[in-house]
Amino acid sequence: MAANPVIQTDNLTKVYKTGKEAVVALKDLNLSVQPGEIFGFLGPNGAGKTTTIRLLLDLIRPTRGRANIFGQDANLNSVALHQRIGFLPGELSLWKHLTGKQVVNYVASVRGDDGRMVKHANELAEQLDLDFSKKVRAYSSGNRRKLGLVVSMMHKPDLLILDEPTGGLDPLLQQTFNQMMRDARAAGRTVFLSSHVLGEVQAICDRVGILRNGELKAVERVDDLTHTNFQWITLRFRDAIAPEVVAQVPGVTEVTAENHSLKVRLSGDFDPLLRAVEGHYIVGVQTKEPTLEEIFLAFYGNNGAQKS
Amino acid sequence: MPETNLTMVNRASFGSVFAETLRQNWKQVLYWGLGCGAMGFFTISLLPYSGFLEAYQKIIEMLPPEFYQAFLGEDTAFAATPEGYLSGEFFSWIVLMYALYAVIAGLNVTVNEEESGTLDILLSLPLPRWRVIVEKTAAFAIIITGMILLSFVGLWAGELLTDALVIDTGRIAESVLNMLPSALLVLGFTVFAASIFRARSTVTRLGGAIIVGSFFVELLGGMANQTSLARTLTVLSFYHYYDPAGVIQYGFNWENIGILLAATVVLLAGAVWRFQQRDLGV
Repeated sequence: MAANPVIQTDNLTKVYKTGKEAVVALKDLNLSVQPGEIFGFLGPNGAGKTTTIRLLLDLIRPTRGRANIFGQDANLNSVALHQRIGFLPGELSLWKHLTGKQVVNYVASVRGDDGRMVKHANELAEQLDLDFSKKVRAYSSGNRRKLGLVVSMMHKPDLLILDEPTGGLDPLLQQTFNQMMRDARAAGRTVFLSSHVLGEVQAICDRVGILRNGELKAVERVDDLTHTNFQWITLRFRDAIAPEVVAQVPGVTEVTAENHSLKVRLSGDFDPLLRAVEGHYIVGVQTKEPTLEEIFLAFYGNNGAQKS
Repeated sequence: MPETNLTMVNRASFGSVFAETLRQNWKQVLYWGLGCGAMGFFTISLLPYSGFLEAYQKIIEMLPPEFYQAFLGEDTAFAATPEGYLSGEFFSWIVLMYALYAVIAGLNVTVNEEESGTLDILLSLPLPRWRVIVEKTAAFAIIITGMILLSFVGLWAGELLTDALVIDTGRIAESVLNMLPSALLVLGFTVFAASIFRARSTVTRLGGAIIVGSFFVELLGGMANQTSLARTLTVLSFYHYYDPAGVIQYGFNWENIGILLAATVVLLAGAVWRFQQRDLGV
C-alpha cells in the first residue's frame, strides 16, 4: 500500500491580476510528493516554482485548486503545518540588525523552544562553519544562506521546503548541503526543493518535476529521466563519411561529423541507424546518456514545446 | 518515522513577537520620549519669567481671531494662563510628533517586513497572521505610551523648577495621557493602510496624509463658521477629538477618548481581517 503523500496538490492554480491583465503563474498543478523522498522542482526563472512554494506555505492563496500537506489543507491548517515545515526562501531576507544568534533565538522563541532547537542550531552552524556572533548585515551572501539553512532545519522538521537552496554556497559547502539533505532523508524527513541548477537536482533528488510557464511538464525519477528520451551515439569509421548518410534516419535529430566520426543524437531504436551505415567500416561505437541539462533542454526546446 | 520534530514537542509560545518587538525598539522610547520631554521642559521653564505670559497674550491677540480660536477657543484670556500657554505652545503640536512616530511604528508592523522579505520567514513559522498584527501593535502601543510618559517627566521637571507656577500637575498628566488615543489612532490607521496596500511608500504617504490632513481640517474647520462644510468635516480629524485646550482646562473628555479608541479598534480589526485574507509579498 502506498504511503500517504506528504504533499498533494489538486489542480492548484494561481492567477495574478495586475489591473486588467491576468497572469497565470501556476496552472492546474497536480503533484504528489512521497514521505522520505527528496523531490526536485525544476524549472527556469518565472516557471512558477516560487509561486508553488508560497502556495504550499499559505503565503499566497490559490485562485483554484488546493494543496494538502500531511493530509491537511495548506490554507486552513497552515499554523499547525508550519510546526512540521522548515522553509528557506529563494530570496532570503533576514533581520539585518540582528546577529545570527539573535535570529536563531527569535525563531526558536516563536517556535516555542525549550533549548533543544538552539542547541541543534549550534550543531548545524558548526557543521556549516557559521559564526553566529556577527550581525546579519555583516554576513556574506553565502553565510546568510547558511543561516537561512540553520533556521529552516533547527527544529528538525518533517518537511523541508527549500527554494533555490544552494545559491551563494561554494562548491565545498554544496557538498555539505547535499550530505545534510541525504541525512535528512535517512532520518525519514521529506525534502521539496526547487532549483534551476540541474546538476544539484541530479546529485541528491529521487524524483524531479519539471515546470515551465506554470505547467508541470513531467515528473520522473531522476534515474529514469537520464535513461529516457534520447542518447548520444558516436560512430567511428575507418574512412570519412558524409553526415547526410544518417541525417534522414528516423529518430536522428542532430548529426555532427568530425575526423571520420559521426556524433548522432538518437531517439528510438538503434537498428535504422546501423542499417543506414551498412557498407561503411565501423571502427567503434560509443553511447552516452544525455545529461540532465540536455534532457531539460529537450523539454524546453527553443520553440517552447515539450519534446518527447 | 522521522526523528522527533522539536516544534511538535513544544507549544509555540504566545507573546514572542511582542517581546522581540519590544526588545528591538525599546530605545525609541528614550530617543523620542526624552526629545519630546526636553521640549516640554524647555516650554514650561519659560513661564516664570516676568511678563512672559502678558507678552504671549499680546502676540496671540495680534493673530487673526479665527486662527487661535481653532486651537485655544474664543477666550484670549485663557491664552495668557500657564495652561493656555502650555496648550498652545506644547500640547497643540507635540502630539504630531507622536503621531509621526505612530506612522513609523505602523510601518514596522507589517509593511516594512513584507517589503524586505522577513515576513516570509516569520509567517513560515507556526504563527497566525493575526498574531503578527496584534503582538507588534501592542508592543508599539506600549512604546508610544512610554514615550508619552517621558514627556510628562520633562514637563514635571520643568514645573519643579518654577516655584511660582500655579498649575495643576494632574491636569498636565491628563493632557499628556490625552495624546495617547490620537497616537494610537494613527498607529491603527497605518496598520490598516498597510494591510491593504503592500508598498511602503504608499502607506507612508497615507500615514503622513492623515496627520497633516487632520491638522489642517481642524485648523480650517475651526476658522470656519458653525454651519459650514469645513466645520462639519472636522469630525473626520483625529485632532478634533484631541482638544488639548479643553483637556488642560476641564480634564479628560471621555467621549472623545472613547471615539478615538473605538476607531482604533475598528481599524485594527479591519487590518487583521484584511491581512488574513490577502496574498503576501507579491
